[in-house]
Amino acid sequence: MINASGFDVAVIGGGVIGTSIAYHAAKRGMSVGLFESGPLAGGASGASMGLRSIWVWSHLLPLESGLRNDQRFIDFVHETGEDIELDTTGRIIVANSEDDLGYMHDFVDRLQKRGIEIRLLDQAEIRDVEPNLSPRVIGAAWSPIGGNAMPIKLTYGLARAAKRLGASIFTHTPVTGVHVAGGRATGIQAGGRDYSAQWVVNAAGAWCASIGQMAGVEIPVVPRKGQIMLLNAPAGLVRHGIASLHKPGPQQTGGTNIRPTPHGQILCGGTSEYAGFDVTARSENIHDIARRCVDLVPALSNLSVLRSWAGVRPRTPDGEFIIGGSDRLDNFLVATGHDFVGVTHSLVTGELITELMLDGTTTTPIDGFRLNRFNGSVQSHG
Amino acid sequence: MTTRHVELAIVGAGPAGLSAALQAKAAGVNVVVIDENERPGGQIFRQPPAAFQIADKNRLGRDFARGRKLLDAVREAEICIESGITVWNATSSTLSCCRTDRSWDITSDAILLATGAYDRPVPLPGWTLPGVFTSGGVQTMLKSQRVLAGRRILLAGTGPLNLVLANQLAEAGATVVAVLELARPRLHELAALALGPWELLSDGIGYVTNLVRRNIPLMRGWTLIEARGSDHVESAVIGRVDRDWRSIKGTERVIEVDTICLGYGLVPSTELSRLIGCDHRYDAQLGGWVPTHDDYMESSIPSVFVAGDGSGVAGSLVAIEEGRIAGLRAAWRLRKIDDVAFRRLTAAPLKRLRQLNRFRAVLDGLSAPRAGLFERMTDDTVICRCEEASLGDCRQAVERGAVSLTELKPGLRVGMGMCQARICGPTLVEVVARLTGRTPSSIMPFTPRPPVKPIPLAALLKQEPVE
Amino acid sequence: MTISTRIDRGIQRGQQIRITVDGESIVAYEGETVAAALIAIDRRILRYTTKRNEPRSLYCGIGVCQECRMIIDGVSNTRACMTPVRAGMIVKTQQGIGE
Repeated sequence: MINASGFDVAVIGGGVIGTSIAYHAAKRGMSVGLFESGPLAGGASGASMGLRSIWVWSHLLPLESGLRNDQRFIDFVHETGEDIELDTTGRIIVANSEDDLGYMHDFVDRLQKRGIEIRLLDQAEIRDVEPNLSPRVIGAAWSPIGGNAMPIKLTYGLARAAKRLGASIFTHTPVTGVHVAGGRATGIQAGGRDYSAQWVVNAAGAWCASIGQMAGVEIPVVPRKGQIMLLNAPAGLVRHGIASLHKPGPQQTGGTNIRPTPHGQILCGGTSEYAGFDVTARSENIHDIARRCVDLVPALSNLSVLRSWAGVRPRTPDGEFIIGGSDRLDNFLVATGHDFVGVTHSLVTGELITELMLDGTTTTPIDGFRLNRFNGSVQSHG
Repeated sequence: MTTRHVELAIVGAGPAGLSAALQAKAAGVNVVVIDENERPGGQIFRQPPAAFQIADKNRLGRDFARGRKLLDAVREAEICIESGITVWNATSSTLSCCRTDRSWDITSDAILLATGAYDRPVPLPGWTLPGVFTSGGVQTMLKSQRVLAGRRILLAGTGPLNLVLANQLAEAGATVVAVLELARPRLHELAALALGPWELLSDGIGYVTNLVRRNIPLMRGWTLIEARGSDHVESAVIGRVDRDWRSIKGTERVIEVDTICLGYGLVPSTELSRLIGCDHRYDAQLGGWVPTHDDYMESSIPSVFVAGDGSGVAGSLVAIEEGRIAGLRAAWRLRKIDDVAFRRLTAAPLKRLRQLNRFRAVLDGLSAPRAGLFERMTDDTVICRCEEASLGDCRQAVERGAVSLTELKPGLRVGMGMCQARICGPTLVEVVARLTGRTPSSIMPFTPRPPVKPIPLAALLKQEPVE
Repeated sequence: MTISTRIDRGIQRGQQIRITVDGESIVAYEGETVAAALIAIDRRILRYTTKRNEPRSLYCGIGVCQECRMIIDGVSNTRACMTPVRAGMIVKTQQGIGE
């Protein structure tokens, strides 16, 4: 019997990660309370391109796990009937420079050797698959895997599905404290009320650090601002999600991305800035995104810009996720650091956190995501 | 990034913006006025296109004459006006501007937002039918384009604009079937109005006596209930309302019309003041969410000024005085005039503003939206014209837990269309407030996003200012 | 009987020109907006909506509501109320999101 003000798990954060955890935990029978200070998808999830990548950004997550992502989304829609504007038409990656082209060849080769469907396109094929791609794009590859989903609808869909499974979703209910006793988190205070919980999961995205402080757990996550832009696009000017591929570096930004929406629009992104929690959509970034996207698809210059907005994404010092417990409180779990690949990894993260809570172990090894990897070496971002 | 610098950048070349520019320029401020329209004047003083030749000024009406006077003064003072330019983003010191083919930034020491207002959208069954226009839109067609948009015309709503327009339409040869006015002023309210400033009083009496002279029925306490027609409006269902503007059952009548003008007052354009981050407050009498300002029209952000209908709907006479005060305050901030000069120069405009505001309070009390205004919608009535979301859609979303405008977006896409919530936003504030049992002031409006109006992407690729 | 009319008292319109609307050549005058030129000859329907396929016309008339968007010289979603006519201009009624 569940106490009305107590839950098996209290999830903090109503973005794609938090709602996914709520959904997966509820699906496996846990009683769930999700607490969000504003509306759902009010942070990074509300300012996301919604791209689902084919490749695995994390060097620590096995490729196979990433590849199941497509199926996870298909299954979610199938099981819940939620409309998340799921697009499974695959992805196009393009190279802009010789350097990046060399990297693309290696990248495609690596994936092919593992039996993954992806191939380089010659110029004629590029025209065929994506007719409006710039002739100056020197190389492109196509994979039927991946696509996109509407991140706000994904968040709402996950929350609705969780609710149907019994989860309680508290929006506009800021968490103001984490109760700790005897080396364990015992609950939270939110919206002026106390809730007890067997598990507390911090999925507050860029705000994870301040939630961590409430529990005395240091979480080295900083907000990284990303701005995106929406164009009015009457025809099927762009058919697939297009991403520029860049040789990985310490400041990987996700590059330039373009994708159609089902509403006669094209989303363009993105940018990367460290500006605290400021989410002002700056003119300079709009110019920058416009220029980079027109480089890839010149015909975009005939369209009009509808609006641009920004959100803050959670960034860790090494760019990898944090998924798991903390040394100080073993039932205080953290799921953050998803930066610009939150949508792609939203469902898998929900699964992993639920496995940690119910099975004590995960089907995919996630040792590399442990919070304590930063012990004694916490630096600022970069 | 190409940038130009001026001391004072004014957005909007209507009565407020131009009056401010005149005062600031006279005080020695380097000022530029940026305006979206092809010619200055704003909506009220909108002039015919440059390609039209004016043969007889006297036939173009009083607004034209008043506007001409202001525009002549502006020309004489050699005020720099940049027309046909969209200000699409703003910070407290930078305005991002564009035309169809280029974009640039203007930085300034002070900004004045004189962005004006637009007709309050009031959804009711049939309001999306071709032939149902806003009163402002029909007036613009007539004043500037010299096109009479209908033959048998019904005007519905509240406020003085419909009285003015009815006369203009009749003068142009249309049959004005009736003017439906929601408000029924009580005697003491009429008495208070009679103490108003002379121009407004004489205007008001003039409008009404002309209606009488032209046999145009002014039906007080009546409203439009529904517009009917197949692919354009063919008839109107009208009916009586009570003091709260709620329909009185059994009073409905159907009249044949080919055109309906909806004039329910104005709502201020506040996208730029909200983008800049000025504080706003909800004031139903001023048209909804408006930027807060001090006695000298300075917003909560120093050196960012607001004036005219964009800072709270109050009409052109108020706009002119507010503009003058804002222009002088900006000059004072820029140290072009000292305290003494500022006090001397603002004495008259401040006095006149106080006088106008007393009158306006009575008028606002008559015309500010009342409960019944938002009860004409049925579940099928479209609220968001861009995304075609209806009242029923909103009701369902609220039943599923939405308590804010933001939470209506994922399912309904309201506010995500091309108009950026200018049409659905003011109504949704009222609708969500009613559906959730809260006050409109507790419902935050949609967050404006740059560009505040759609702009050609091509303009972003060429960054240089116009000569 | 027509609904709308051009009012020529007190004013001399710009040069007479021709524009093409949905394949039909019509007369307009320099200085007029596309919306005014069409409404003046009772062509009130400027577009059809995406979801309900309903006819729409001019509504606000001052460039705010975006209801009067048409395909003008190949560019969809162009506001007819803010676009001046030009000789030879090709205007099309916009269906849904345009082309």
